[in-house]
Amino acid sequence: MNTNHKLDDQWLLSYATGSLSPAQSLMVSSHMAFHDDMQETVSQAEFISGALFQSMDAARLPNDMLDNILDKLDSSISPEVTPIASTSSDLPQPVLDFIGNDTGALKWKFSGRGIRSARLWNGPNDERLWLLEARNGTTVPEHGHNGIEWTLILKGSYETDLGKFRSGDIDIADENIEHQPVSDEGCMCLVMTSGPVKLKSLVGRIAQPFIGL
Amino acid sequence: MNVLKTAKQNGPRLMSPIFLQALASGSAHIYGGITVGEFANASRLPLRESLSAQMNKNTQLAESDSSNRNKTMIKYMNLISANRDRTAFIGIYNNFAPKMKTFLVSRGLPHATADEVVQESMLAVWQKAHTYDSNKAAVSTWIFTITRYKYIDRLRREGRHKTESDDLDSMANDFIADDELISQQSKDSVHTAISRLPNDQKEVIFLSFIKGLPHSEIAQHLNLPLGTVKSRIRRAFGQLRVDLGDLA
Repeated sequence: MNTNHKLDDQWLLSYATGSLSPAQSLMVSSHMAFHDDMQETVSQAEFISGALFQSMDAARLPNDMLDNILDKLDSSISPEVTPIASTSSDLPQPVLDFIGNDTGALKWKFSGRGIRSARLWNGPNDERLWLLEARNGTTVPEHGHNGIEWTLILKGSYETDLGKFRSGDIDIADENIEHQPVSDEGCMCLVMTSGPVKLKSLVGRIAQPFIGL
Repeated sequence: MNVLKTAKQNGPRLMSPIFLQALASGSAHIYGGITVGEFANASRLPLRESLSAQMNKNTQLAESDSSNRNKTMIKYMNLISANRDRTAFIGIYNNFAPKMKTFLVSRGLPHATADEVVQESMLAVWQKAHTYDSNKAAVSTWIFTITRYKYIDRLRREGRHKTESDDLDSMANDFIADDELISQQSKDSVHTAISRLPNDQKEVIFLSFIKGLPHSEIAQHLNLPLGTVKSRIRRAFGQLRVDLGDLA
């Protein structure tokens, strides 16, 4: 993690080569949607990956695979995707792709005062992905982490001891970090965790199973 | 296996076990067509010296051949896009589908699942051919990114990470000779670029780009600090970008 609130190149290269989990991939592709320089780095890595891909040996395929594919070609052309609803304009394209362009299917639920969240994905190793939206003037309960927590700001901003995080910034917290983000203007974030957060307050800990953080 | 024996005799500058396994199984051919023997000798003789004569001879041919292949693939893509040309699609399939499977199996998908993802990827090529722009990407890059997307999408739908990789020996047994699909000269362009890298950089490129290991796992495999792995990959990456030029 760089001090400029951007992921460093190792994550970009790993993304380009297809080495990341679905949640990590979505975080990286959404993050780079905000940054042209990151897209350029990934393009270069994809170029190299494409060259290596072209040079790979050929694996044996089932004899009937080509025929099966050819049979499906005519029926595989899907109608143009309906334009997304205006309410989803805060979401970068990779997130929209991830949810099948169906923002109406997001199940938002109350996650604390001024906060709501919608779960996007649960994976192995307790890896979870969700959208979190905070109203202006919201203070997220102070918490630590049992694993890592990546937060990408999609809209708005929040502030922690580490500084102000704005749209396109990524905030990485691990077991060693306890923080209490404060959002004066409100924010929408894409969040990935690999372990439950540890709420510090008693009220927070009691409420945690119900608010899903 | 002689490779293992030879490499082990070379003291501390050993390749990682996973890399040696790939060498021993023959699947290191996916590493740009460099042969087992070449790698086995790599830690005794600089690869660049031992292969330089052959590579110099091959480089011009490789560039010419690769360029012709690119033009053919671009023509196929245009035919698919404009005319829904099935013959052109079969040309794309013959070149790329077997490589898609190699990539997917190397990322840990079981063979049957990999076959399904190859089908999904090829159908996506057909559906999205009109979005391909030869001014923006090589066909190989475009198709690689489609395959990667379908691979990640499969993991997402199944709610899991990649599985443990199939045994590399069984993977090697699944390879077929692909001389009809791509000539040796075209593979040599990548071969040449990779072989010019120092051995420590070759190793991290193999583990990162081909095996798809996260940098932290590469550091564990090689017993190196993470920062060293990152800097090696960054240097190798920069050099490959220069050397591969427009060949991809």
